[in-house]
Amino acid sequence: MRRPGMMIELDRCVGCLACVSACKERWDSGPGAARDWVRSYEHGKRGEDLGVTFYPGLCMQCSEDPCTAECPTGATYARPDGIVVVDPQVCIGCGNCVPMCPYGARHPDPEKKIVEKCNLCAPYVARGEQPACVQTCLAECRHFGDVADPDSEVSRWIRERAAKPLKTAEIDVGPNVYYAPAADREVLIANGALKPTRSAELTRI
Amino acid sequence: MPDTPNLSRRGWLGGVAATAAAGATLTSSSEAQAFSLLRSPEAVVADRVVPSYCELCFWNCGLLAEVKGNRILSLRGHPDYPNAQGRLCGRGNAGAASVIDRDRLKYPMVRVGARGEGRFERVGWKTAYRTIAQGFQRIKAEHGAQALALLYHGRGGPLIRRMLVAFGSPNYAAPSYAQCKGSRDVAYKLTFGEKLTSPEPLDLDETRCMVLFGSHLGENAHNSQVQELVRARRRGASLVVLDPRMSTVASRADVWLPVRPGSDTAVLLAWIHLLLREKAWNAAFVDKHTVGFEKLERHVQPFTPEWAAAQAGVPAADILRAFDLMRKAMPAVLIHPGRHVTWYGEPDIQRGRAQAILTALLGAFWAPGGIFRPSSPTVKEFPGPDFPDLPKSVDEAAGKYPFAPEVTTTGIREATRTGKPYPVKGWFVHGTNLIQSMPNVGETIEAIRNLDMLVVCDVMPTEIVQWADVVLPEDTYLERYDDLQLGAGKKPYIGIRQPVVTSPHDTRPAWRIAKELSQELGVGDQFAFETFEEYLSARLEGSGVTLAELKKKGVHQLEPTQPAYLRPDEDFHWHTPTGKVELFSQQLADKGFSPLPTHTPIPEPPAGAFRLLYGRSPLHSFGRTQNNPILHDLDSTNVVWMHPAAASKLGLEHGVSVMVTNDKGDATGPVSLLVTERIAPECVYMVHGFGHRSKGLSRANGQGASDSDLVRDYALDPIGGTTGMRTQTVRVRAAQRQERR
Repeated sequence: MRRPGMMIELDRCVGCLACVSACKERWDSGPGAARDWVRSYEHGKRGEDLGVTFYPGLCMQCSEDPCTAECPTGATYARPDGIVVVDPQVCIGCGNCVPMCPYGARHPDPEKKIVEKCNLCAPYVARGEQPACVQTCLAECRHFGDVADPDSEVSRWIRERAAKPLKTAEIDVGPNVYYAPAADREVLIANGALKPTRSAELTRI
Repeated sequence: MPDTPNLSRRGWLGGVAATAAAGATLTSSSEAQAFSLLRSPEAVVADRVVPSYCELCFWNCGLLAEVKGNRILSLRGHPDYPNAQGRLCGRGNAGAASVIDRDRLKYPMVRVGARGEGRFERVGWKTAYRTIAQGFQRIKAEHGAQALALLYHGRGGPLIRRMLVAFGSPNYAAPSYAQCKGSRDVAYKLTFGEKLTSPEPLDLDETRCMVLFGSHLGENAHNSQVQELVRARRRGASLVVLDPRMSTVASRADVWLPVRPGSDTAVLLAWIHLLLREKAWNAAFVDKHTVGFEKLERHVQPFTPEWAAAQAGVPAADILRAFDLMRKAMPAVLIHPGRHVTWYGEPDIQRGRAQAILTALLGAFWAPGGIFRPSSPTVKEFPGPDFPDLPKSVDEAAGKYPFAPEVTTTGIREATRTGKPYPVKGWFVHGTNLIQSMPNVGETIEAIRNLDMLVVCDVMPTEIVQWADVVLPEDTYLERYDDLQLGAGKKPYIGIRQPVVTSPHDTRPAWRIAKELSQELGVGDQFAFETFEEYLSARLEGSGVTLAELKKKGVHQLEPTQPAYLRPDEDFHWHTPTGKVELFSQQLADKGFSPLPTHTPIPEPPAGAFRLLYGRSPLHSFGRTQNNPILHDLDSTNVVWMHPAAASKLGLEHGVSVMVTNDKGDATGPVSLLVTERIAPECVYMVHGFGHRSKGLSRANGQGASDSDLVRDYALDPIGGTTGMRTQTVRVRAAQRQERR
């Protein structure tokens, strides 16, 4: 079974935000909103081990999709191929799903009045294109494809760079976005890339 | 996903609020108009793809615009353009938002209030042209045509220049020389007889070692150069970065040398010293192509790594480590010449010379992995009558800047301010916000007050527009034809900018403004064409591509006109007085300047003060893009970087609101403080281009701090006339209650 996913090389990312700009443009995200993000973390001391790690993040398309569990309308669901989507015609923007994501990958769009998230540009991929962030990445640090197929290019990248998803012993909901190398992955986790999920009161946004 | 009716993807008519998508009203906030906010944008399918090239910055990347009706659905990098390679940066991706920005200049205007007050009334184009023509004719009658000047930046500028020169003035200048690349161009021309092209001919495909001086690629999103640098790293090329700040690229380097500001030349001299001491220079290149080697050898004897380490405040071992990386990679070493290099005045020439000399000694000029020899496309000039004999430019008449290859903005400003060597009374400003792009805004305003007429042609109501007597609104780059892009590189190319959509306002392209205004000025015979297609077709004649083909493809690749690398047996006559690469510059000596590069330490800031450093955000170009709805949304303000030790001494905490001041009574802010180990304790840093004060820029106005407001103490280089702008020291204090937003 095909499972679209992504692999990101953290040590190649230059933090230029072309990915976020392209995503925002493609998906018409409203003011203050975007489906993906790049955060930056400084670590170490000047003169010793000072360093900078970027965290290009997006929906991890988790196999367990905990974010869909408490949707009151059924607007959000995992497709057969595992991509978690929100049907914009059905979503009422209650925001119930937002705290259910350990990565903070869901956000209410202030103008569209619905919850938005990354769908790996599925409709565009179906037309033979790449996700917008992959297509435009200046550092070529994003690799997209079928992570279930060991012969796919993305699987080769995952093997070659020993990429792993962002997860901990406590929080593991089967993410399908892989990050390398290990040292940078640890920086992301140490800086709170994952948070325990919690159910929300049903509130309209 | 369910189908959505094909409603408006972009709120595409100026002033028209975003249209509602299926089942929702989407206009609750005042910013909604800037976003189209379709819930299912994928349901809107393009009816055409139009190739053109970008102008969010002047890398001018090729693009493909997907368009439906008069709406741009998306922009993406043109796959066949060498400067884009199928990708756009964060700015380029947001370009369509500049079309729908409600703050655009929408119609011609003339001033009704006092100068600088920003009060205008709408006029028709004919009235605007006649007002300008009357003003310019009067200036010409009273002071001569040389009393008119053009200050410009962008593709439309050269056609306006054609008008000005035909009218009889030699005074045209761009900040991209005197406030940016100038000192590098002078230094490389003095040494190799060639100035470098833009994009720089860096052989990143073949390099095995890259050395950057303050270049912060990545934060500075020079598209293809970033792509090629990352690819070179992937291939295993080593990377050395000199920067007092840990830039993104410095954080990725094998060796980061956090040099004291202004001490790069000391490190360069030490590397030259090492190369000579260890007899490791490229003898084949040096023997065949250079002059002055012995003098250089004597000159660099004292410049040991230990000496440089003391000057630069970095360990000698790291200088050696970087040297080893270069030596191992020889001759495939790329000494990056830099781009924005006007930091300290004359020392910038010395640094550029040292970079050029090191490149020569490594054998890395016109060599694989170093600087390659670019080929440029040649196309016809559009025919016109001969230009009149021109009087001396302001710089020539003043006998200034003997090695400047062009007139300087600074020289024009000085003549306007002082009337010497002769008065300048009229400015045409195209596409450059001089209030932010030139240092010492006080001098700029003093000059403007001396003008009889200031014409500003721009897309956005920037600060300089507020000072204009006549405002000419230009089409955005997505709405107009411009002159051809003649791309230099290993493979030269011709690119076209063409209308992707139609402007919803009463705006015009620069070519049309130049043509129509020329008619009013009596030099219309320079523009003997009806449509711009006619002009472009005439220029393309014999180039191997027709206008129709170019409009369809966007770019036409040509064969190189010369080999990218010097052949070992090639007897090249370099375009210098000796015909050789001049390690020792008799030209400089003759004019009383140091013929060999020297290091002059920059004075430390006074106690409690900081050196002001500035740089780029990957989402902004100078001060041009802060009001773009998407880019503003992603990056709305800058912050001031300060080292933790310095912050704690001042009792300032991370995130507090601060004001940055100089000793001339200027203050900028309020702006948030970023406390970070990445900046040297004696410096503060901010991204350039924020702190706008034009009320017409509704998003950008008042956001962040402006380094341009503070830089009064610039250092004028007497060799090439560029302005060093890292010479300003500043203080930082907590913002008072009434200053906070």
